[in-house]
Amino acid sequence: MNNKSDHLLTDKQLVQKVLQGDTRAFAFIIQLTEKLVASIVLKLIDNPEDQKDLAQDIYLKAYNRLSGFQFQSKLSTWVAQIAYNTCFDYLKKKKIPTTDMPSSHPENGESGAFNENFEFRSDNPDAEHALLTKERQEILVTAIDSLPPLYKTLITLYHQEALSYEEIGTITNLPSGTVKNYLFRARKKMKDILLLQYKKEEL
Amino acid sequence: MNTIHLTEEMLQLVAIEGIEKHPSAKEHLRECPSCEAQVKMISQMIESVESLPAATFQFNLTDIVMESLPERSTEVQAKKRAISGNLVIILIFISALILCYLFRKQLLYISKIPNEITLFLITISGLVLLFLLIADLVREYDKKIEKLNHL
Repeated sequence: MNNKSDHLLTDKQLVQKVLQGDTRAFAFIIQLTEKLVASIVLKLIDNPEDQKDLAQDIYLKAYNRLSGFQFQSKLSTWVAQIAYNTCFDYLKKKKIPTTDMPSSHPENGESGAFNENFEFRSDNPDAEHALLTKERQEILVTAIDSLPPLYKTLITLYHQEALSYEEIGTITNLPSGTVKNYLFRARKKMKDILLLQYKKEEL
Repeated sequence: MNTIHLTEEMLQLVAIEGIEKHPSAKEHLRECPSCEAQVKMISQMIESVESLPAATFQFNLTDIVMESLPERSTEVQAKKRAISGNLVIILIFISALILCYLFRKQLLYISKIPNEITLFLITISGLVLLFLLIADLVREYDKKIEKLNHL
């Protein structure tokens, strides 16, 4: 099987090939879904050794359960769902919280008090173009990393992988409305972290 | 001007979907530098997130997974195994029949059963039972292997 012909294969054909014993077809499935799986595993799991073990575990599960795949979603979404569940089970086992406590409405935000005291200044060119510099990008990465695991994953899946609310809902076993709500919270939290950072720098 | 600031949700929606999709926010944004700056900041933040390099594993995932893949019992392999299993059973059955026929006198002598037909029937029944037993064992074995493969 060469890569050129692989690109023309549908999910169904790929699955059939694997079920008929063609392991190269499975290697191709790994290549197709690796980026998506990495964006989930690397956002949810911090330990590099655990990342490796879990990534392997995810694909072994996918391989063993492939005959049960019903084609109700894209193959990549199904693999991502296994990835999310595997990582989530790991976090549960390690008793690591996946979200912050949703004690307030997203509109009020978790750090609403901070916003009340902080007024945006549109005449500040540094604030307006802050995120364009490399240094600011590093701050952004730090801000994303400081989000709870689920929020990090949602931000990545929506803004980097460009998945729809429905697809993210399938992967995370959450209703689309909840995904949307959590995304608002995540962006709000990220924005607050960034603002705090800028405020610190201005002082 | 509407003096109530836009909600966080609306600020995000305007930043993501554009002002055209939310005309109700247009008037306020035109006259509120604070909300306008927030929308700008959120759009820049999202733009920056979208432009971040994609996450990649620091190891060769394909190699690691492919090395640890269990052997899959495919449908074709399962059929082949079933056919070869049945062939062996049939061969054993035929060999047993031939042996019974060749050594029928000795068998009669050993068993002291006077009637050749009775002996033949007993042997055949025994062999049929043996055949069914083996076939059942093979089927059970296949089922268990299939279950293990899908664990």
